[in-house]
Amino acid sequence: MKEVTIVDYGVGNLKSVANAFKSLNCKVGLAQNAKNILSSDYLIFPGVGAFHNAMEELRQRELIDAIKEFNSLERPFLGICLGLQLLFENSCEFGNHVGLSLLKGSIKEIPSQGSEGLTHKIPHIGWNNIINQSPNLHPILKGLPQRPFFYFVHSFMAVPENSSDIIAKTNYNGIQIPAIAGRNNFLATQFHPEKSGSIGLKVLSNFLKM
Amino acid sequence: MTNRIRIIPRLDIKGPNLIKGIHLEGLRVVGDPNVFAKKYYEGGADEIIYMDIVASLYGRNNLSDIVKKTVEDIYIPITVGGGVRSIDDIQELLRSGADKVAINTAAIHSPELIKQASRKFGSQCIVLSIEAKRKSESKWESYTDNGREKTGLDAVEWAKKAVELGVGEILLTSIDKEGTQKGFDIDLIKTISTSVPVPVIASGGMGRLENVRDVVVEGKADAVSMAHVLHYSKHTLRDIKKYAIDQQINVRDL
Repeated sequence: MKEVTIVDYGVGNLKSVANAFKSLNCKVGLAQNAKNILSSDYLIFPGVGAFHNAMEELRQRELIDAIKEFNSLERPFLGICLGLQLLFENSCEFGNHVGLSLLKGSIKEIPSQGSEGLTHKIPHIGWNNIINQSPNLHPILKGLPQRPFFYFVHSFMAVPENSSDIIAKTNYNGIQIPAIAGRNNFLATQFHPEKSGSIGLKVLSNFLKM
Repeated sequence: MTNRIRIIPRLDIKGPNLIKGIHLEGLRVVGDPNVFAKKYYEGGADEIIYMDIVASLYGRNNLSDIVKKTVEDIYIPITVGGGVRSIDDIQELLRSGADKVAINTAAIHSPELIKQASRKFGSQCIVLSIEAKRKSESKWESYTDNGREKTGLDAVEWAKKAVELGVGEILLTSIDKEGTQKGFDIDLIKTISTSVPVPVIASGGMGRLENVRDVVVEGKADAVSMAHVLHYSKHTLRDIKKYAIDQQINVRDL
């Protein structure tokens, strides 16, 4: 039985993430300290809410270095939603804030106008399909329909410095939003796989094969 | 390309039961909310709304137990509302598995709550619930306690103010139309949806498939919620989505 560890830093809907992995026959644990993080096989880094709040929670719990160190071990890692954004260098949400800097680039507000000048609603809430960007289909996307739908809910988006860090993107009225970022088994989704029905569960089960 | 419209079953809860009323009153027991939620998840719902519709009257909140059970095998977003009074209440619901929390009465009594909550948890999980009753051709008043208490607040102005304070979405229920199955209050939905930058979920009045077209195309709703037609199997989610696609309304294909 695979064992998945979810970083518990007081932010995010841990229960839904845990339930999704339990439905895939995993043992699910919560990591509240550096030791738990470093001893995990599969680390899940969820998050909702504001960027600086989350960074502050990580700092107070002394988890920042542990997450960085875990990454150097090259074990499977999956950030979700804010857990994707926190991996970048900085964010302009409520001021300028430094992130974990595991990926190069910034977090910016989603433009309130689409490419054709049509205004659209922010937050971007709802189901949107994603498009593979890597030269070969990344294993996380294996066995999915061609343009699978996932559930997004966010007002900010990643703007990676290296386009090779974008594994899949989604299109919100012409705005290209990174939907999956990372490389190899170091991954993060802007959407919520745990809230994206059976297709979301498929992504999680792909992750467990890494 | 228009934005993708969400189709959202709304489950009003009283105690342990799924119930349904008319004009938010005259309640009748329909069944076990978890059974219905599961059915809607499997049927292709884009999200689910749970509203404890007597919680604000009696000042208690038993929804978190139902939510905990629901999220064990439902993998779509769940918005929960009814009787949410404090940051602690919101925290409790989010920790129980809710993705978004809808607030009406407490937000009106203390607008500061939605400001604090959206700073703490993020705008995307704080939903303003508005229960609006028409006063004239183009004016609506916000009510609390399931359409029982007047507030004197203009619904459109309140929506704008709440967005400034940080809410990320509005669940907009027409008290006049709720439970009547006579269609949504298109003017209300359109007026608010075109006045705020955040998504608006239209609620109250769904009776026929054509109502979905009207509220999306004319009312500019970003999401459509319905109760009666689903609970009493008048239409399935599949019927609704198929109809929407036929009408060239962009929905998540199943």
